[in-house]
Amino acid sequence: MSDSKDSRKATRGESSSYGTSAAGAPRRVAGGGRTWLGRFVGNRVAPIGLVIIAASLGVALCAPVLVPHDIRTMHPAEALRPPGGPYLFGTDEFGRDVLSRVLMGSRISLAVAFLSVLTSVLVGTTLGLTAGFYGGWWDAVTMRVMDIVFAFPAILLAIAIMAVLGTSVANLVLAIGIVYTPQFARVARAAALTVRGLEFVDAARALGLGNARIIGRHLIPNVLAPVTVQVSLSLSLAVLSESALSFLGLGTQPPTPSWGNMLSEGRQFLELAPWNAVFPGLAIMLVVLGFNLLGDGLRDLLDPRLR
Amino acid sequence: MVSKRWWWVLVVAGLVLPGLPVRAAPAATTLTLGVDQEVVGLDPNLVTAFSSFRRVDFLYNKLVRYNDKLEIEPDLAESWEYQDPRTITFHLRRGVKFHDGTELTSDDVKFTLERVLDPATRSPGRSFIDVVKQVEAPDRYTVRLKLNLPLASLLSGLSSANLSIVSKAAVQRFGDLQRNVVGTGPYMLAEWTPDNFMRLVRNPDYFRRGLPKIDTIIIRVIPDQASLLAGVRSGSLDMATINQGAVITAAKREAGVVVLQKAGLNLRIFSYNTTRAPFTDPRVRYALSWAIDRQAIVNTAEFGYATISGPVPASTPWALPLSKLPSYAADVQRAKQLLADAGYPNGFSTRIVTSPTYEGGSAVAQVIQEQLRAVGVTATLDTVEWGTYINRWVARDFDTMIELRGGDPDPDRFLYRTFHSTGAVNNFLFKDTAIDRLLERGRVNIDSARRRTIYDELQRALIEAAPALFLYVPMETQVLQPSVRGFRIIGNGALYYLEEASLER
Repeated sequence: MSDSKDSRKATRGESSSYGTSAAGAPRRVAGGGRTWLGRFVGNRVAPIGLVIIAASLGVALCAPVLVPHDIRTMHPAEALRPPGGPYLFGTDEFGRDVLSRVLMGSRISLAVAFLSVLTSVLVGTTLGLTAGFYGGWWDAVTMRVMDIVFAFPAILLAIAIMAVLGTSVANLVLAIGIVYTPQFARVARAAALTVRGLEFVDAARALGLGNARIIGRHLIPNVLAPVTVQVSLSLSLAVLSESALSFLGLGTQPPTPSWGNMLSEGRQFLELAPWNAVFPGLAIMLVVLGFNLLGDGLRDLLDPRLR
Repeated sequence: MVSKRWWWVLVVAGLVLPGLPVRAAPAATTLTLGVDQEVVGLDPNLVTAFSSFRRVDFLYNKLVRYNDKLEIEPDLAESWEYQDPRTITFHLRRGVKFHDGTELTSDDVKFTLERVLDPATRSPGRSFIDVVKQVEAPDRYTVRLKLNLPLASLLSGLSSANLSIVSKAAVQRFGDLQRNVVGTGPYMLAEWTPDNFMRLVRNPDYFRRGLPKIDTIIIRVIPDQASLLAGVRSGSLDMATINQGAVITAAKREAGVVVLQKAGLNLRIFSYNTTRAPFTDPRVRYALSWAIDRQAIVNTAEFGYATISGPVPASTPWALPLSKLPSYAADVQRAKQLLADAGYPNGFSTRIVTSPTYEGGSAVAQVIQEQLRAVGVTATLDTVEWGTYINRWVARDFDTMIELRGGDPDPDRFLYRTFHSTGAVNNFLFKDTAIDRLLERGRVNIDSARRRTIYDELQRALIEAAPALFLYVPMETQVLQPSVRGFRIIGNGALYYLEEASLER
């Protein structure tokens, strides 16, 4: 009996149906007969999300060449100019160009989001997989710790962590990373629990495979689907967390622009110069919408019950 | 059927009654005041926050107070005179009643001053009057203070809200007066729901006859400045204190809102920790003064609502004109040269502690950060929440810091405690024997002409020794409804002239 045959049989019977076999060969997903890509394009919302995210990433990567004005030099005489003329999005209280700062702000906002979610995924998935696979005291300890972290309101915990660590971009990544780790641990553990009692895992063990190889070959492919969906949704939450912490003055520090700290400063002039808050606010909204659309679309695609 | 007799009675009543003086009570007037901070307590001798002082002023009186020209005027003391530079006698008003109906006497004044002087009380007002050796009450309406040293700023110190006179009996009954108010002030505490509102009612026995004019004052806590202005605009507030430049600008554009402004006494400074390199070197500290364009900071961070100032608030008569202050014309080349002379031709790196509150001055920090960049100094901002900011201030845990210091009409009170090597709020850890000596001479000279030469010299010395960079004095701003009449704004931000205000709706 081969690994792949067993895994296919197992996954078909279970909820997870992500499209790679244990042996790593691409595998057609049951039902419909259309390819994964075909169904993705056919999905109404996912491609919109993908386009938004791709565009945002493109802007973030090219920001240094796209910005029309220097983002640090202050021009007090040009302070709070309304949108138009040389300043498409207007200027802030220091006479700096809002458009340039929104463009450059995307780099911090997205970089923090991706790096912090990467941290959560690596730590959370590892903990969740091993907890689910080994069970016993390790499971008990790990998941209780995760429950404790999970019990705190996310933003409150992030504020506490930032207050202890001090404000820097690295600490910001760490704080947001810690906050979203339990979600990945739970998702990974649930998938690991489902799979570990199945016949193909027993078979692999009977064939003499070590724990590490069983986790690598049989468990990880089965948690990829739910983790992927979770990644997309967490990214939108991470963008919001970065903005919230920067809004509170605990995140990205001036003069480095991030959408959160721009929003925070712009809020003071909401009446005199609304463009200071509106444009970074729109940017946050757009990116969060993009990640959510993508995440929802992926969930629809990857969850056989919703197909 | 009405009998004839009764008919007569009705006719007479109909003729007479309209002619009688009608004692219809005038409608009770209520003024709603918006403030951005709740107070922790109301014991005037113990509170430390500026927000508390403003409320204490409604409930208590001092021996003397400042008028709107920043001159001392009588409050509970009718008059006073010096017997010699170390003895001063106050004559109290007669018939002043506490809110509980008992009369204020010299015994209460003696008790209050001794309470403030007792180190166990931990009163922030202690340092204002710590030269007082002995308080005597020779009769019911006379108080005599014996001093260790002459103190030119004694009356200024006694005008502080921390020196409000409390009832001896009330303190003995309640322990402290944080929650129980027994004052002599124009208003009495009627109701208090912390973090929401406080209701004050008119004191009918107030010693200034005919005052206060408004029957009830309701104080609402609204932390956001834009919301305070919105409250005044919509009519839910009659009056509010604001300080953010953007909100002041918005208020001035509003037709139905009256904006009162006066040069204030608070001083915005950029503080150095003089025990941390490179700020241990006065040349470095002074060099940065040339790098700073103060007007640019006022224009961007305060929307222009501030006056550039040296160490003595520019709004007081003691301040030297800016033309006589060195380094007040920004000169980047000069700053670079001085830095090079001090051994930093390529600048250095430092950190600025700031907070997103108005006092924490994060916009000021950003402009300074940018201006320092021009002379090669890389400053990183530590934007921290207000509690952390206070903790770091107390622990002296900073390289540099943006601050808003409470000034005073008398130069001694602000400068001595701030820049003397033993000063209570010298958190620059600044030590300079020449400046210490000037500060000591300035406070014991009661002759104002001689004091002036001392403080002129001191101002220049402080700018060159630069324990901090002195930036500007923000304006005090009140926004009110046009119906509030007769209120006078004072540079120290106090609201006690609300007792003379009336409402004409």
